Parts: sequence; C-alpha cells; structure tokens
Amino acid sequence: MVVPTLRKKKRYVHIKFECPCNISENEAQAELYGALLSFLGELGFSRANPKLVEFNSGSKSGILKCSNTEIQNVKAALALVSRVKGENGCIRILKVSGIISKLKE
Amino acid sequence: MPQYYDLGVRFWEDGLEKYANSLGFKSICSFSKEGDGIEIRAQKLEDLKLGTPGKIILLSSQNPELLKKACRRDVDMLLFGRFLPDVGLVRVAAENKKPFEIPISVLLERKGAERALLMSRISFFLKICNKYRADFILTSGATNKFFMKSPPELVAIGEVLGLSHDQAVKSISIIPEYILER
Repeated sequence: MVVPTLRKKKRYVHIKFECPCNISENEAQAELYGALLSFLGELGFSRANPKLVEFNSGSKSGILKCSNTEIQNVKAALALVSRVKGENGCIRILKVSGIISKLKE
Repeated sequence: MPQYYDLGVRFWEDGLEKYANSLGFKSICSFSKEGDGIEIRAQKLEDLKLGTPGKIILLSSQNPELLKKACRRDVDMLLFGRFLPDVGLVRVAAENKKPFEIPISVLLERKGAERALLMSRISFFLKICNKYRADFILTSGATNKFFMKSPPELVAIGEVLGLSHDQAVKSISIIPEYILER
C-alpha cells in the first residue's frame, strides 16, 4: 500500500467513439493504446500510464484513466485519431475529471 | 469564459452549425460554396483577384513572395502550406496584422514519420510567429464531421505544438473574433 502523498495523481477522461462500425471493449482498448503508443512513443506511454477503466459498447463510450501531468498529451493523441477499425471515425473527449463519479453523472 | 470559433471548415452539410455548437463553438466559417468564406489558391500574382465584400478571404499559397504581396491587400487570413520558417513573410504578416491559418487536418491526413516531421515544422513556424508577434489561428480544416475538433482538443494540440495554454486559447477565440468583426 502506497501512502497517499506518494500516490500518483490521475485524471479520468470520458471518451466516445464516433464511427459507423460497432466496437467491443477489446477493440476499443486496442484502438486507444495504438493511438497513444504511436503518438507518445513508449516513453510517453509509460509516463501517461493509460488504462481503460470501463467501456460501454452500446453507446461506444468509456472512461480512460491516465496521469494528470500527461493529460494534454493524451488529449492531443486521441484528437489526432482519424480512423477507427480502418474506417473514417474519431474519438471525442467529452469530459475530464479527477473523480470517476463526476463522469458518471 | 472565452467564446470559440473555427474559421477553417472545408465542407458544408445541413445541421453543421448545430453540430459545431454542440462541440463548443459559437460560430464557424466554412470555405465552401454555401459558407461564409472564400479560399483562393494562388500560384501567381494574377490569381490575386480579391474583393468579395462580406466574405472571409483566405489566401492559400506555397509561394512566400506571393503571400507577402497579399498581406498588403484585402485578405483576412493566410495559409502557407509548407510551414517553412520564412522570417520575411512572418514579419510582413505581423506588420499588416494578417493571421496565419494552422489547419489541424494536415496532421490528421498524415501518419508516422511524415506527421512527426510536419509537427516539427509547424512547431518551429509557430515559434517564429511568436517571436515576431504574428497572429495565427488554429482551425480544424475539416473536410468531414470526423475531422472537426472541439475547442479543448484544439487547445491540447496547440500545446503539443509548443504553444502555452493562453496562446492556444487566444488563437481559437480572440483572434478569430477580431477577424469576424473586421
């Protein structure tokens, strides 16, 4: 257990896939990690420490957790996605918060 | 709370304004037949036939000499597609208060090393703009709905390109507002 003062601060990003195709949780995770890895590189990816916390394939939306110091880079990486599963599409950032419950409201 | 504008949409469809409002923009300018803007792609001096009142004129050229001449004419925005650090051009644009358009779609259309090198060129171009106090506008340059970006996304991309948060916000709020009022 890490003491609270040593715990890394995080941000939760509410994302939504806008694409004509259906997308499962595994596919969404692969798309997100692929986009972040190609834009940030391995070092940037490790600093951003992203994790798909939850995903709803019906609404194609989910919550991505990442480091709060790298939030702008993560937002830029997701904004530069122009294709999803090989088709035209994008990832919209709906809201960013430090508390996951705020995104579920 | 600033109000955001996207002055670089390259398509038009029904309900586009509503869609832009839902993303967080107060207003957009579309460089299409139905829109409020005219994009002139100039290759030589004779192409500089300007003067359509009530419309926003964007002059797009790969030739810095042509853009310098256009700065002294009735042009609202400039697009230098090569994003080369031409100090002469940037200084003339700053003197005449003509902002450069930085369309994000040029990054979306590229991948891998090509995108990385273009980001590096745009980043240096913006640095020169800041040094000589030339204005610039971040736009989506969108050719379809998926290429349209919300204001926080544009700000994040601006910050990745080396701008401060305030500079990025100014480039999508205060400077576009000034152009629309002109």
